[in-house]
Order: sequence, then C-alpha cells, then structure tokens
Amino acid sequence: MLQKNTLFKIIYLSLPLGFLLIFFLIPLIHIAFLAFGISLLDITEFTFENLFRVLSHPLNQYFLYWDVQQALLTTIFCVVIGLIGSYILVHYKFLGKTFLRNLFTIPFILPPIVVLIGFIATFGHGSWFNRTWESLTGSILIDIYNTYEGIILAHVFYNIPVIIRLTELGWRSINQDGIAVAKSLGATRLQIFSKIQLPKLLPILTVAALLVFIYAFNSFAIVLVLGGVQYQTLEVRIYSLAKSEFDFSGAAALTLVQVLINLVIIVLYLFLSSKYELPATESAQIAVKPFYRTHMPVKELLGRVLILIYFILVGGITILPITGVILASITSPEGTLTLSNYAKLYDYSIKSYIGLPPSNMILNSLFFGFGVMILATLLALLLNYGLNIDTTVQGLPKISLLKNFMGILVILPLAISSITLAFSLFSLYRTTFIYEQVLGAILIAHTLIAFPFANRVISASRSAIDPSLVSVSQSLGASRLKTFIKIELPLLIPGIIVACLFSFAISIGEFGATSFLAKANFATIPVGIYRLIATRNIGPAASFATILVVITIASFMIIEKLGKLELRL
Amino acid sequence: MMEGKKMGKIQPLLILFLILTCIIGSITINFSSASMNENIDLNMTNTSELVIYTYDSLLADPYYDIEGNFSKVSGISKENIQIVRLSDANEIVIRLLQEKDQPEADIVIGIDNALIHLIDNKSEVLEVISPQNVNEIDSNLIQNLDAEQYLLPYDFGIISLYYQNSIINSQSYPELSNLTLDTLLTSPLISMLIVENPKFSSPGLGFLLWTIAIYGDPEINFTGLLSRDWRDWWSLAKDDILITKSWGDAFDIFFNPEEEKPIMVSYGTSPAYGFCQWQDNTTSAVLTHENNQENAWLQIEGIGLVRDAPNKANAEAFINWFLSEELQSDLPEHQWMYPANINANVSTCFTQASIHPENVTRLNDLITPSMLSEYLTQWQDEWEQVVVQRTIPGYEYMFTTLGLLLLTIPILIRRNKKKQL
Repeated sequence: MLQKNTLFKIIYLSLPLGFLLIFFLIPLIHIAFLAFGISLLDITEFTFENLFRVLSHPLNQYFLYWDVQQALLTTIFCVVIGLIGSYILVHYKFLGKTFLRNLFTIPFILPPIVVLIGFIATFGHGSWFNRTWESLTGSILIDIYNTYEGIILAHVFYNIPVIIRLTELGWRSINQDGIAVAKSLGATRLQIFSKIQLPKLLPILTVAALLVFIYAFNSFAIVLVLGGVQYQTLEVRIYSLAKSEFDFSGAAALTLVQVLINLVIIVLYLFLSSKYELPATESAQIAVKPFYRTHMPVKELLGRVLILIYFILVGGITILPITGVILASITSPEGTLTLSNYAKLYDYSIKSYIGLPPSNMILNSLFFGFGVMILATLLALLLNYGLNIDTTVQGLPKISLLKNFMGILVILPLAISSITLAFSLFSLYRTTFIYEQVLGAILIAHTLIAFPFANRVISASRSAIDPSLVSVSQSLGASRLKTFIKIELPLLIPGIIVACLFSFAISIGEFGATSFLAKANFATIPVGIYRLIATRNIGPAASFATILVVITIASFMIIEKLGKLELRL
Repeated sequence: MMEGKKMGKIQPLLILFLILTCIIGSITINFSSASMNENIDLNMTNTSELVIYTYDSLLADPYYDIEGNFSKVSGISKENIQIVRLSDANEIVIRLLQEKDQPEADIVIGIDNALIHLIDNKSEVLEVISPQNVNEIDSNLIQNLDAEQYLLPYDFGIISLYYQNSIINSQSYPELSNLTLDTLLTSPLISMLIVENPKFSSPGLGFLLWTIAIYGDPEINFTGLLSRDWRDWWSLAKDDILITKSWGDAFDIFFNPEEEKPIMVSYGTSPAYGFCQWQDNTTSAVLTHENNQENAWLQIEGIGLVRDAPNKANAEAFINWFLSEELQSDLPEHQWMYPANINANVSTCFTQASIHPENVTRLNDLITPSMLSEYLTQWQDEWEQVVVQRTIPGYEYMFTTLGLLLLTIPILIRRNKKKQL
C-alpha cells in the first residue's frame, strides 16, 4: 500500500518537480556560479573579479541606488494615495462604487507594456493632454521621456490598485465597537487612528507596500522605454549587459545582487504574512455613510468635496491611460477619427518597423498563450495531486520535508524577475536545442512565470474539496481515477478555468523574458508594441495594445465571475 | 473491488499517457505554428546554405531583395539564404566573438572602421579574403578599413548632422552656416538633436569619435583639434539631446512631427534619400567648421568571411557578388552610401544631394588605429558615465529615508507590545 502510493507520488511529482528543477533551479544555481566565474560551458576559474568589477563600476552603483530609491518613492506615493482610496471605498456608499472599485483594479491586471503605451498615448509629446496644455500655457505640462517624474508616475499608476485592494480588507477588519467605545470616552480622531486603526492596518499595509516595492524595483518595460540612458533599473542593466554587450559573467554578478535583494523582500513578506494573520475576508460590519444627504453641515460638505477631488485626480490617472490607448488607436496623427491604425496591422509595410508581419506576432502570442495555459495548469494539477495524495488515503504520514522544499521551490519563481529567469535559461541552454528552438525557450519561460499563479489557484480550489467525499467514494468501491473524474474534477473545473485564464493572460502580456529570448526575426505582440514605441509609431502600437486590453480585461472579468481575484502572491 | 484495483494500476499509466499526448500535441502545434512563420529559425540549422549577420537597415529603404537577387546569380534557392538582421552593428561584432568556437554565420556585413577595433585578434574570427574583383575596390578604403583584408569595404560615407531645412535653415538659425560643435551647444538646435547611442549604433559611435577627434582627450594626452576635453561637450549636451538605441529608431522619430526633433546624427549622403526618390529637397546635411575647415568622421563599412564558416564556398561567391559592379551600382540608392567599387555607377541626383568625403577634412587621420584598439571600449563606457546624470540626492533623499523609516514601524510596534506584556 505504502509502496504503491509512493510510486504514485513519484509519478505525479516527477513532472512538475523535474520541470522546476531543470528549467528553474539548476539554471539559477548556474547563474550564481557564473557570477564567480564558474560555468558549465566555458573555461572556469573561481574568482571574485566579476562581482568586484560590476559592483565597483560607478554606473552600476548609481543605478542600484537609484533603483532602490525610485521603488521606495513609488511605494510611498502608492501607500498614501491608496490608503485614502480604500478608506473611502469602505466607509462611504455611493452610486457606482463597485464599478469604481473594479476600475481601480484594471491597471494592475494589464501587462506593463500596455500601461506604458497608455501612458505615452495620454501624456506623451503628441497626446491631446499635452497639446491642450501647450495651447493654453505655451509649454508642455509633463515630459515623460527620460525624466524621473515620468517613471514614478507610471509606476504609481500601475501599483495603486495593489494597495487599494489589499488595505480595503484591512479597513474592514477593524473592530467598529472599539472605535465606538473610544469615541464615547472622548478620544480624538487622531488617537483613534493611531491607537486602534493603524495597528490593525499595519501588517497588511506593510505586506502590500513590500509587493509594490518589489514590482517597482524589478520594473522592466516602463523603465526601458521611459528611462533611456539616464535611468535604468537593475533589470534593464542586466538586460543590456547580457543581451547587448554579451558580458555574461558581469550580468550574472549583477543578477546575483538583484536576486539577493529580492529574496530579502520576499522573506520579509513571507514572514509578515505568516506572523500576522492577514484579514482575508470581511469580518466586521462597517456602518457606511451615505455620500450625500440633504442639510449637511459645511464641514462635512467640505470633506465630501475633498473626496470628490480625490476621485477625479486618482480616477483620472487610473482611467486616462486605458482610455488613452483606445483613443490613440482610433485617432490619426492629425487628430481625426480613423480605423487606419487597425488597417496598418494587416498592412505588410509595418513589417519594416517591427521585423515581422503583425499577424504573425498575434499568432505567436496566441500559440504561447495556449501552450502556457495547458502546461502551467497541468503542472499545477500534478503538483497538487502529488503533494496531497496522502491526505486522501488514510493512515499515511505526510512527508513534510518534501512539502517544505516544494513549497519553497514553488514560491521562489515569484522572487525571481523575468529577465533573471530568461537570462538563466539562456546562459545554460543557449547551445542546446532548447534555445535553438526559440519557441521552446519562450514557452518554458512563460510557464515558469505563470506557474506560481496557476498553482495558487489550483491548490486553493483543491483544498476546498471536502476530503471525506473522496474517502466515501473510495470506500464505496470507486477507483481513485473514477473518484477523481466523477467527484473531484467537477468541483475543480472553476479553479482549472481560472488557472488557465490566469496563465493565458500572463503569457500573452509577458514582455521581458520574451524580448530577451526572442531572436531577431521572432516576436510576440508585446515585443511588437515595444518596437513600435521605440520608433514612435504610437497609433499602430495603441491598436496592437487594444487587442491585449480586450483579451486581458475579458479574461479577468471571467476570473472575477468564477472566483476572487487574488492580488497577493 | 477487483475492478477498482485494476483501475488503480492503470491510472498512473493513463495520466502518463495524457501528459505525453499533451507534450506531443504541443510540439506539433509548435511546429505547425513555426511553419506559419515564413522566416523562422527552424531551417537555419538544417537546410541553410548561407547565413549572413547584418544590421536591420542594410539595403532596406527602398527594399532590395538580397536573397532573391543572389539566388538568381548563384542558383541557391532563396529560402536557403538566411539574413539575420541584428538591431545594430555593435551586435554583429559581439555575436561574431561569441560564436568564435561554433560559428553559425558565414558572412558578417556592417562592421566598420571603428567597430573592427573591438576585435582583438581578427584571425580568430575572420578569414582573409581576396575575391577576384578586389582590384576594383578603392585601395584607399582598403587601407583605411583593414589593410590585412579580413574585412573588405563595400560602402563609405561621412557622418553628418541631417536636418529638415523647412524648419532649420540659415534664416531661422543663422549659426547653421558656420556651425561648430561649440555653437551647436549654445544654439536652440541642440534640443532638437537626436544622437544614437554609441554603445549600440555605428553612426552614433562615429559621432562620438567626431567629438573626441575635435576636442581631444586630456586623460590619454590626446590633443585632438582643439586640445580640450570631449567629456565637457557631452556633459553640457546630455540634458538637451535625445539618445536613441539605433539609427532606425532615430530616423523614425526624426520624421515624426509630434516629437519636434528635426535634426539627427546621420550621413552626408542622407539628403539623397528624399531627393532621388521623390525629388524632395527638404532635407540637408551639415558638418562642423572648427579651425576654418569642414570636419567629418568617415565611416567605411566592411564585409567579412567568418572563420570556419559552415558554407564557405557559397560565402565566397556571395562576397564576390556583393562587391561586384552590378550590385555596387544599386547600392547608392538603396543603402544611401557611396559604393566602394570604383567602377560602380553613381547617379547624378545622388552626388548632387550628398557631401562627398573627399571635399572635407577627415577626422579619422587624427585618431590612429592603435588608439582605437586601445581606447574604444573605454570611450564607450566613459561616454555612458558622462551622459548619465548622477544627481546628488536632493529632496528625493528625504523620501528614501522616510520610506526606510516607514518600513521599520512594524518592528518598533512589536517591540512596544513586548514591553507592555
């Protein structure tokens, strides 16, 4: 009995475990060795020279400092703006609140490259925003290319949703009775905030802030385009070291630094999420105030006006880029309405800008999307069944050591940026058929990126199944497979669909790893958008991006219908 | 029960089968999708009879069908000629060095008289070539590119500032008629200028060498024309110029009126592009006039045979064809550069609109090949350090500290709680 189950376990686990080991862990370890001059492919000699050379380069030092700084700056802005937003969403009721909340989520689910083009369409040089401002004042309001404020603005816009969605749970979990008691005892608002609300909010706020920090710190597409030579994150720096200068050992050394910083943040994140019980669902009933009622005192009215201003401003920077993409896709350079940007996607002439006919890029993207959808979901299913097999068959001890190891291995890809993933794959397999067959390498990279998300969804819906159902079914004589097909599978289907859509959406919007691995004559939609932005063909780029907007928003609408959208790692 | 047990045994097999079908399925989709892509890499390793590395804009505007035309001459089918267009010339050198032990390419096109110095030992990656028509190639160019003939010149032209004369002309900007790098810096023109990144782009590198040759480099005791420091020019210019990654990117931004960048680093032959094709004379080229002479950096681009090339015979035939009078006569109006073959035809519209390298003072004579091979990478690296504006942290610094403080609050609170307990 034991042997049979162990056999099953090995079979179930061998695929996902082997996949992670071969394509993730070993390449990553290889990078670490490469940083010290040890490589499987070239002459090797242990040395600190690479690390020293990379870290003593003044530009690397500066960009490391700058990267941390911009990530912190982004985090602070997001926390301040997002906390106010979630407070209002929780404590007031008004028309279109659900709609507004969903709207605030949109930027986060969009691929960075789409956010970028939306940003350029709205605040770029030729945008109506800057043009109107210029006609009013004579100079443009904001220059997003090669400026600090442009990058911060884009990052803030991208990350506000994380704070709003997570701290909303925090506000809801605050015990209202405590506040009422404090009020009756004469506590000031500040006292209530600092003594009751803040301590309750802090853990989840910190977790959310760490997430924002890690997203901003590893930002690639936005900084690659907006930063130019002036501003580069470590991610961009590694990309250009490895991809344009072919300095693999230098890039590996820099990657090591980046991975270490990411690991510190992730460990802190995991520590905090397990230490404090983060509120997962709404626990307390909160008395919501109506937004408007007749005969309001002036002070209250003033507060409402402030809230309104907040929504107009934040809503503005949240909505504008999305509407900007769609608007830019249907306006010609002269400012008239046109569909010519879409027509250009069928036009062969655009090939000279992006190196491949757009239709091929769309096909490539769809191919990867479907491939990753199948691969990531399948691997996640196998992993969960392999790990949980003993909970369904009674009388067997859990193998916790393996479980812990797997747990770490599964969560680890989240701490590794997409460029690091692509670079580690490339550095180990660049002479093998895996890289020769570029499609394979990109597929693997996308699967690695999507896998943790798919795994999370599957494992959540797997653990929601009552284990007694399985044992009852088996004790009644049904085989394990029959039990799976008849009982568990129907219950798992929503989870599987969500995992599939999640993987699909992640793959179709992935830019960093794809552009790293894609050879000169091979690309997907995001790579095409990047090429078009680099040549400032904003119209066709926007129409390309609109396709992605529609696909991602549709995917996430279905996900929201089927289950809860999880922004947490 | 019996049946159940049986099923239990079959079950892992079934799952394994499912997995296998998925893998096979995905591989087939993979291949079918690959065949949908006309220029996919698949056949590169199998059936290619000729692989060429070049940059994206070689003979690209108007498009010249290199594969088709060579196929007619050589009989090699068009599908088996692979032209890999890399983003810019720097990448060709890097790829070449990278694949030193296992060459994938047969031919490299686009390594110029500056980039050649990034290769320490040419005999390791290239082979000496002397096609039959080598005597038709301008011997001066051969001497200036590579006397050993690891690379043979196929075209040449001077780097210049290329501008739209409807916006920029001597009425609107009088400094244009006697432009120097100094006056460029103080003129409003500087904020309209697009420069390619010399780390990635060969005209960008040419422009960097132009500034170095004029101002000199005191750190290596190189006086240049004016015995000053090239770094000063760049550190004053960096806030105003737009730096792009490749010449192609710069060219597209140049023609986008919204960007308001009507002047860029390009070639003395660039005005011929509009003039020969559409009789459009709205673009011109200008050089700088230090020491009362017109100064320019000459770029000579070369073609080379990769050492241990997989398809050596085909490659040699290609090089012979590429340097022939026939192709070289098509070169000016597709590549917009002067052909290296002295017998090649150059149309009058081309010569009319372009600046010929012979009419200017060539800065190349100031920077010797040995200086290039010693300092080129260092210059590229230093350029980046000069251009990146490393501001001493000001108000942002306060935010950084504030952020770090915010992150420590949870720890402080926990300590407080412990104390209270």
